[in-house]
Amino acid sequence: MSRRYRGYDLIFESAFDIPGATEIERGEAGVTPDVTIMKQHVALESWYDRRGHFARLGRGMVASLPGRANYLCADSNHILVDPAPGAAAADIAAGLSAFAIPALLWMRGDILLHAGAVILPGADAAIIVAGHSGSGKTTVLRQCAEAGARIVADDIIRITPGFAISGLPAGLSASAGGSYCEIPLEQRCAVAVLDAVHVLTVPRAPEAPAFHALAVERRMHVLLAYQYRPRIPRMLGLARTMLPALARIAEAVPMYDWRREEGQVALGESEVAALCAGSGLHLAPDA
Amino acid sequence: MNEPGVIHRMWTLIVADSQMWQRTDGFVSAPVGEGTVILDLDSGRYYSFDDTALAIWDLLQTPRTLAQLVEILTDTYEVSPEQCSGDVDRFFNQLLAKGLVRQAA
Repeated sequence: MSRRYRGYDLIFESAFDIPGATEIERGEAGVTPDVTIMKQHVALESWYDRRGHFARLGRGMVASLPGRANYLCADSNHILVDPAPGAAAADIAAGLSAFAIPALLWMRGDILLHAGAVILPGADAAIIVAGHSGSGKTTVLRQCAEAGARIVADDIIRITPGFAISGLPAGLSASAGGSYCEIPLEQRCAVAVLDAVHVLTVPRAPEAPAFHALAVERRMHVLLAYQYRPRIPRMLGLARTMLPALARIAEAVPMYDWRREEGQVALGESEVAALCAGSGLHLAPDA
Repeated sequence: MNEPGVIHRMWTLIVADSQMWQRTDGFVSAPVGEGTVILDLDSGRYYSFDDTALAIWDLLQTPRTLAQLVEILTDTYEVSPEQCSGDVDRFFNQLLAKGLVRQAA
């Protein structure tokens, strides 16, 4: 029995749960699903160009997760899932979110970033919060949600032409030692316009400024560094179109290094004000 | 990481043999701001080139000796042969260390 979900500003009809997506009534969308996910045997005998978990298979792409499932993105609208014997449903679903759906989105020609995104109270456009593991990204996103922000994306952001961003807004992943936090329906945002990017970086000294504007070359570095599973577009031969698309984003979207104090958890008033300012945060780019 | 001595010996070889060099395959590029980003399609590594670096990189599409590079650049830009030779030397050693150039057949 398949169910319908909304996520990444797309409608999915899926035989498997999609963690982080919003389940919708069958008649709610009123349109043909954009993506169909079904259970089917995936024959891997002819695969080639395997790199890590991924391999090209004909015109499609396979994500192979031992003990969970093989996922074939047959084209930009269909994912076939072949569960491993005895695999837990939650593990199959997690693989779908972390590997198969991102592969399909890259196949569609979208840009994927490893980051979260929110619309702060009073704002009408979204900011991206990026940062390496342990940088405090999840903590910040949770605090934004607790302060009434709408969540656009938890951990993976899809960027489509016009700088529209979307993701899976139904919950925030657990940080180390934390728990999954479900986001109320009214705080989930299906799609938003990107306003600015904030990159959580190394802790700062107490008196040092918290935000530094990035020059366009550094913005490009940020985009390249935070692509989600960048091997996929390279395997698909999409890098020639992806790189200029990233350059256009770097040219157009303001980005900031965001340095918090060591061990700081709660968002300060000045931080909230700066985040709310989004692209209106007027700082001269670092040299 | 390559040892500086290795690069030095290769550099000596270049000068002695007038070796032709060209850039390795498998890169895409896009202009960004004042420079250009070059992406290695195989490894995913990326590099940021300024105008001078990009000029050398573009010239290395065709096999050339370093002396030829310097000659073309000094004919094109207002730069002394000494200055140009030093710039080419430094940048070429970086390309060599990163595996971005290879000996032409």
